This record gives sequence, C-alpha cells and structure tokens, in this order.
Amino acid sequence: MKIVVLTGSPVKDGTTNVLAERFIAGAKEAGHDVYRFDSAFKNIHPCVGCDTCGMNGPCIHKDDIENDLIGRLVGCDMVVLVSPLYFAGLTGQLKTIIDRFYSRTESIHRKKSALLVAAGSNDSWMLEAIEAYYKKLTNYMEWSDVGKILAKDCLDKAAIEKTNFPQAAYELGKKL
Amino acid sequence: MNRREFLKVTGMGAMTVFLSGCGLLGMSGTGELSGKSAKPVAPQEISKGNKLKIVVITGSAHAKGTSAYLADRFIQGAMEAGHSVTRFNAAFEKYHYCTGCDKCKGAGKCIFSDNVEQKLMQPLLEADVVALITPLYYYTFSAQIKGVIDRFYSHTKDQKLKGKNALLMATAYNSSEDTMPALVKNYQAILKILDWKDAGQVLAIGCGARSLIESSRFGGQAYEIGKKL
Repeated sequence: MKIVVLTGSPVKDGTTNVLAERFIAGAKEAGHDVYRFDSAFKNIHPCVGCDTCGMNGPCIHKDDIENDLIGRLVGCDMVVLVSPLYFAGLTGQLKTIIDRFYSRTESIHRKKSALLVAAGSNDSWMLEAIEAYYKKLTNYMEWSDVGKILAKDCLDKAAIEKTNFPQAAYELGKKL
Repeated sequence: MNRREFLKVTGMGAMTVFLSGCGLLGMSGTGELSGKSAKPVAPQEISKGNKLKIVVITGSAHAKGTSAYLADRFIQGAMEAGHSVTRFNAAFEKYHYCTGCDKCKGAGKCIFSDNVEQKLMQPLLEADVVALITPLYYYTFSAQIKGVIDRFYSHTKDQKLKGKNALLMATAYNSSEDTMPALVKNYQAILKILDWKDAGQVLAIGCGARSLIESSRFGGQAYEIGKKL
C-alpha cells in the first residue's frame, strides 16, 4: 500500500513522533511505501474558501500542500492522522491540512485510515471529543478505519515510552 | 465528486432550510460531552444589568459569509444592550500556530509577538463572554480559529482566563440534525479545559449561502443572545 502519514505536532521529538515512527517502522517492515508529511514544519496555508478549485482542481496556494502533498493524498491507499491533542482536537497545523483536502476532496475519498493521538491528560472526555470528530470525518470521507491509538496520560516522550502505545502503533503498521 | 454532488451529500441546503426551519436550540447535557446544543440564555442571566466585555473570535475567511453574518447580528444585539465588543477575525489576522515550546508555562508571555498576543490576549483575559464563531470545515472549527484556540494555551493556568461565559455559533451546508455534534463536543471539551460555562449556541445547519442564512431564524437567534446576555 501507499500510505500517507500526516503529523500535526510542532514538537519534533515528542509523544506523537514516537507513535508516528513506530507505526512507520511496522508498515515499512510489512513492505508498504510510507510518505510522511510533518505539517508543522512545512509551508502551508489555510483554505480561504475561495472555491477557485471547484473542489476538483488546483488550489490558489502554491505551497507544500499543493506542490507536494495533495497528489500523494490522491494517489495513496491509506491516510494516517497523527496529532497531539490540543484543546481536545487536532492541532491547528493538522487541521489546516484537512481543510485543504477540499480542493480534491472526492479524490481523497474511499481510503483506509488510522488515527494516532496522544494527550497529556487522562480525562476520557478529551478522547471522546477527538473520537467523535474522527468518526464524522471518516464517515464523510468514506474512509475505512483500520485502527486508533488513543494515548492518554502521555505528557512527554518519557511518559509515552513507558506505555504500550508505541508497540501498539508498531503492530498496527505491521499488520496492515 | 463535483460541486453539485457535494451539496447533495453535505448540503441539501437550499431546499431543506426552508422546509425544516432547522437547528432548534435544544437542551444540553450536564457533566458529559453530550454533543447536543444548549438552551438559550435567559434574559440578563449573565450581565444582571451590568455592562459586559465580550470577545468575538471568528474563523471564516469570508468577510461577508454566513458565519460573519451571525457574528454581525450577535454583535448588533450585544451593542444595543450596551456591552462592549472586541472582534478578532482569525482569518484576517497575522498570527502563528502554537509550537508547543512551553516557554509560557501555560501562564505567561508567548514567544510570538503577533496579533494573537498583542491584539487578542489582553481583551480575552479581561472578557466576561467569549464567542467562538466558525464555519463548519470538515465537521469542526476552521483551521484559522483552531489555530487561535490553540494559542489560549499560554494562559490556561492563568486565573484570568478561567470562569468565562462562552458562546458557540457555527454555520454549515449540511441540514442534517447530525451535522454539528463533533464540533459541539470539541467546544464542550474546550470549556472543561478552561473552566468556562456554556451560555448559548447557534448551530446554523442548512446554511450554505448568505441568502439562506439571511432568510433563516439563526440571525435572529444570534441577535437575541447578544441582546439578552
């Protein structure tokens, strides 16, 4: 499979990077092609709703999303969303990518998907909010979910490395 | 999917908005994230006759779009009631995403001296009421307003940011009653994190165009909430 991993964290060596790296290691060992796009370290612009694309064409923003990512999203078999929970949602950086799906949204429909998130808190309602969002998103995009890693109580890299979540991410990639 | 099909799937907007009169303000759940909308505020429940400081944060890049209309009507009502309003249009302000550097420690200055830090943060800390007004992009806040919400982090441990009254207003093409729950759940979680209280919601489903929202009941709801705070 061709897999696109979209990360949302602005912290290079943080909790969700561990999840992303482990997932990618598993997926590569299983022979899949992985393209990783770290939205917090790319040149990106939010969708301005101009509708010049007509939902099926070039975006007015000639940035890393348009020049590099969007074609890979169209051509991939699976999209993986990786993000720390910021105010119970994806980071603004990753949400920017999702809003920009708009220009090719039909062509990004009907993929496999996975969600890998980490939260500092262990409040279940925080995860409930992101799960509800992911469910709406996958339903609309007609994505078939192959797995979710919801790592709570993981404030930093040391904390997440003591849990089973990195191994679960690895196995998720490996068994694809 | 072409645009017509998109409207069919996510919208059915033009017809059903007239038929359903949609988006009633229902009752909210209590402790959990019910995902349901809240009852409207009772007259002067919050102000008790005093003048309020209100911050309105908008998320749309359309200066004259559907959610801007809700913001306009809400502000009109609030101003008529004598309250003061600071409006921050996230899509038209220069600001940076939170980089999670934690220099602020959740209670201090951000490393960015941009418009969030210089124009929004002080009014936000002093506000009695904060209104989050967004178009629904992929079932939740637009990236533009989410980026601003993420920046609240710099004062999450600051008592001045706690205990505020919050309002949520959103607009969507889709006219299904099942359009807004993920947004509302995210909103409710934000309120829990900040120790804010929901003071009202306008969930304008079936409003994919300015003409649709102008002929709906939602503008009136936004106005009334502003007027009755």
